[in-house]
Amino acid sequence: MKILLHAFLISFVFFFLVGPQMAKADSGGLSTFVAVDLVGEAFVRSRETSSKEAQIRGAEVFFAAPIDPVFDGTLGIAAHPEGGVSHFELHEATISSSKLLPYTQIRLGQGFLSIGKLNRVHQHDWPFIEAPKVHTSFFDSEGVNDVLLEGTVNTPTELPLEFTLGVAKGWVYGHAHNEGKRPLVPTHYTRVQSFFELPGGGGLQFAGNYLGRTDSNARRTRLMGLDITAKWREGRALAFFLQSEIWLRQVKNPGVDREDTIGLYVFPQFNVTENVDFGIRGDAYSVLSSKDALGNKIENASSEIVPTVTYKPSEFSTFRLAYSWQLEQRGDEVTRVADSRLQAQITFILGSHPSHDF
Amino acid sequence: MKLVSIFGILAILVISLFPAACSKPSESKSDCIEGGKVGVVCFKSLSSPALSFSSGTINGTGSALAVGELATETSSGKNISVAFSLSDEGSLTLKTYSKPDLSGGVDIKLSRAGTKLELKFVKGATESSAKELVGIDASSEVKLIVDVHNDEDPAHILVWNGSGTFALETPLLDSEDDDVKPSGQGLDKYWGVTLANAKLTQAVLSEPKKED
Repeated sequence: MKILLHAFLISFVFFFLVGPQMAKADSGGLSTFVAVDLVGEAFVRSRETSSKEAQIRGAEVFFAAPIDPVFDGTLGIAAHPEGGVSHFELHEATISSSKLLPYTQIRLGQGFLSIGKLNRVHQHDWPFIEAPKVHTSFFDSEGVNDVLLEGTVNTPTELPLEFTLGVAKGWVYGHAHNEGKRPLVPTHYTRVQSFFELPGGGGLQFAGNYLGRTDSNARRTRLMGLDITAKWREGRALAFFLQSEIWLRQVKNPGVDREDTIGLYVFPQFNVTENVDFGIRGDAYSVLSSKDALGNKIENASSEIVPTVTYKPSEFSTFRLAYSWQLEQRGDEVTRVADSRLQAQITFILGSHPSHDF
Repeated sequence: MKLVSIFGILAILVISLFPAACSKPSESKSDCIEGGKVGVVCFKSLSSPALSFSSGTINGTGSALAVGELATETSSGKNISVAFSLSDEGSLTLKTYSKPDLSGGVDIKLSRAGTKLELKFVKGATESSAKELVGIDASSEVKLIVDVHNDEDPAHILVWNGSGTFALETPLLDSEDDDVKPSGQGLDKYWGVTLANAKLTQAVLSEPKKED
């Protein structure tokens, strides 16, 4: 018991007192932060699910620092609730270097795969509260995390191009409660990204993505997707922000027809006042190959509209309120509003958060 | 920038109309010509002689395929609430995430031995050991609530007593914590039942009770 108390006190002193001071004292050295993500729901109207209790969706402790003149290291541990209990899991433990090969960054260890947009960003940094269905279905509620080796090459050309090639262990993919099994073909992925400036001080980042794997049961999965992020700044304020992804998933089990599913989301966000943004996310999702047991095609689609207000007094705290409407259509049955709910989120960061990708 | 704002709003409008835009009413299956209905689920007999469909029940020995999909996607979860009666030594097998011929799925076999009800998982010729579902009287009508999470490997199965008050945290079987578990995942998204001296009186699909 005393050991636990001492461990708690040492952790408290480090994370809340020493860590931030170290981050301030040596900005080129150890970066340490603690990020907390609280979410809650109200006014739930649903055919199937009930309101979730307000909960700490994520509490993450993160360290990043140069190991030596050649290598950098990261360690991130996050707690997420499951079955009413918070479980700590390893989010990131990587060693990386941009000094071994020219124009090349190499990353080895456990982390989120560098593919798509949301999958590369931690949950507490998303521009909305919940992930769109295309992300939760094709990746996971947060993202695909695995032991990986990836290389990213930046070409020294006028039009900047960034090629990422990675391979991950692939024993499991997405949500799992066990260690999984050795895949026939491990998870492999590539991303080709570029950027160009837009008139009026804007910028556009866009990328094509591919992921493939064949699991131990010979189930073959392929994902192909495009993601774009556009920003216009006026002074320091982000006047307009647009984030969108579109993905096609093909799943082939032995001896059955291939299952093709398409999903996308578009999230434009406008700056209303200095610290307040308003955005509206639209999602769409459909299984293109859906048919009944007699071979008759079943039309199906689901979509979601999520207006979101964000109050962000600084980069260290965010208060968000959103209302979501889900619409479903399946065969003859069209449900105009299958599910609606009010969602709230508070995130805060203690310490020094590393800078984000564009 | 205004142009981009307009593009964004237009994109949202297009997406919001997506279900309607994709909506071409498919051929109505409400008549269920080739079989019989249990509740709103249309079943087609795969056996010869055919199973007996009457008054919203299926009775006898043989297999029946549900015409609609169990789920839109194979990697998904679904809940099936069933009510059935078994003759002594009779059984009912729930065939989930199967091919249209009811092979290749996660099969949950429920067998009666006197007043006891036993559950085992079947995959091809392989059977798991059996587990008695304690508290169920198999000599009268049995009601079970079954979660099948086929987005996990092996598929995660939870079974609750469907009689009385539903208690999420006290399933009769949770294959994740039990030695009795399926050996893999289902390959497709169809489902049905195989009866052996049994009568199916209720079959209702919904979203899984347990979130993962």
